[in-house]
Amino acid sequence: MSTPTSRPLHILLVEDNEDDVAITRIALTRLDVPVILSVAETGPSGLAKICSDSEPPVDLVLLDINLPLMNGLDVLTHATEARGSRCMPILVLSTSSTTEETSEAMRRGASAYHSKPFRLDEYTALLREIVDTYAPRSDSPRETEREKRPDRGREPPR
Amino acid sequence: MIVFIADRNGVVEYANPRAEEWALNGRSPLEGRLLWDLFEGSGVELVRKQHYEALRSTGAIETQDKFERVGGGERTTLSIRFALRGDDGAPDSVCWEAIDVSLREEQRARLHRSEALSRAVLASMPASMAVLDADGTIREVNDRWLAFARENGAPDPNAWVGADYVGAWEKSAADQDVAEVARGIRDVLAGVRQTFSLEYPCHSPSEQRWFGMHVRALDSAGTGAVVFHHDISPSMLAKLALERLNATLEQRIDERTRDLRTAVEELEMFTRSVSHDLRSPLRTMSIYSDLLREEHGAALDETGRERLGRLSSAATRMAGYLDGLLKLSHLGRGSLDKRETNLSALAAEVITDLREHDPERDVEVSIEAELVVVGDPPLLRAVMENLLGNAWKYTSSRRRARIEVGARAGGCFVRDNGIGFDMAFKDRLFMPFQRLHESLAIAGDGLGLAAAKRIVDRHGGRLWAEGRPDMGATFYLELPPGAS
Repeated sequence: MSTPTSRPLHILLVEDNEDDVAITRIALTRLDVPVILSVAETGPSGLAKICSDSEPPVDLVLLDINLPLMNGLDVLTHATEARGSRCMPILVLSTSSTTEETSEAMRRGASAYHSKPFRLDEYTALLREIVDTYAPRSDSPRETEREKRPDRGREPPR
Repeated sequence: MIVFIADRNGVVEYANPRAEEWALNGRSPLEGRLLWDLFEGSGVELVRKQHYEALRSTGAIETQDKFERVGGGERTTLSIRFALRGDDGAPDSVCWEAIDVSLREEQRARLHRSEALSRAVLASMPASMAVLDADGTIREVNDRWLAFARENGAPDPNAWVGADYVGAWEKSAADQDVAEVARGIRDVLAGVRQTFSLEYPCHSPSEQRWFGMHVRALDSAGTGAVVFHHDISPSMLAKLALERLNATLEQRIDERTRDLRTAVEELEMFTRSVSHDLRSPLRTMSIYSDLLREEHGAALDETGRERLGRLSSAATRMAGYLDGLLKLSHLGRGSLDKRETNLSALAAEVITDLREHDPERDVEVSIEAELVVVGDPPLLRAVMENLLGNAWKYTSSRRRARIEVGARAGGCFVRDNGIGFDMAFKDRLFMPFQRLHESLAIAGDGLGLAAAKRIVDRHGGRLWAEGRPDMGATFYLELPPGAS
């Protein structure tokens, strides 16, 4: 682990809409950075993947709100309860945003809330910004990286 | 005392001053005139007859008469006539002594008429009435009282008179109301109060009845009181029916309101889910048309690329409509946070935003200072955004565009010198998705004014517009004065 890009970014996408999954894949390939994309298509399966320790570990979660079996807000609640301060950043990507939904997501521990952009270039730009913010760099310990992340309103990791 | 003495032929020999005054108002001496010439009508014959009767009679004759005098006026007299005799014992004149009792008779007749009237009034009264003496004993009752007693099976209706009315109430003082009645009547009889009134139910097995009782002192000397009972059942029944009607009306309104609220909530939920569900495939269309242009654009000719562009911009526009719909449905919910709001400041902020967004436009804007209303500040800002954004947009073709925000009672107006509109369409202005102008260059989402109107409606205010094609438009905003 000596080169800056020694480990690809592991993104978990919790999304039931096939089109949206495909669009996200396309946009991510345009970023030209190594990314591993895992997909969960329901709320419970997304939650299971968030809570289990995978290898490589999930670096960030892109979470839809309207999901089968359990909605994104409840996934957020359970995930932050289960993982506490060890929880990876969870970003909500919603089809249509309301201020109520935004504040509710933030209250339940989301790191950020975005509505899904309508243009491909806008979506690519958003994902680039996200990856730049959360990409792990091998030249610094991971925990330090975590502290650099935007304030999530939680206890800092010990 | 009136005294006449007339000779055997009726010629007046003597009349005392009272007689002169009485008979002819003292105008001329009566001596030498025929006694019956002083009278008129039947009086002439009556006086003549009585004169001769007295002349023939050996004793005095007493009469009570009524006759007309010369000069008018019917008089009633009490008279005594007797013959005066000469030395030979033969009657040679008649002495007539009289007292005029006309006044007394008139008073008696008037009193009689008055009593008859009182009795007729009491008898015809639909209320039961009794007169009590100072002890509370019944002294008189009217026909209705007796009829009521009969209808309700009183053993002997006549037994009412002489009965101890208040005592009867006191004896049956089982409950609070009855005790109150007895106390009320006693108070009136004692002069503590002038009147006492009470409404009470008195249901019979066959019908619901209510009575109004009214007790009134006869005079201030405490000689007794009049007691009335009148049937107030019709008005009570009407009142109860009205109360029942009101109750069911309120219930019906509640039900309707609930139904309506449910319908509105369902509609809003529908709007939200539809605009959400439509967005997703729309986004796919938009992004795939971007992909198509980027990855395969070279394979298309100019026309093909233009058509792809139309597809993409249509999808984007539709997404804008869905956003607008969502916002509109959102406006219907949530409570208003009303406070004093400076519309002038809001307008200035909005204009600053518009200028920043559109720096090449040169619009002359005037905003009257201190336009203060009461309302929800973010929502009022949305209203100003829509009105000013509208004015901004529709003046875009003007070389010298002008927007004015001015004061009017309870709010403001926003006037522009833009392309205006036809007043025939003034109501369509505020309907969702209605646009009065074809030009796509100035197209909005068709929801801005609908949203503004909805906000103003929720505040209980009014929003309306005046305009003429090509002559600009004025939007008027009126909000109710805020409660403290």
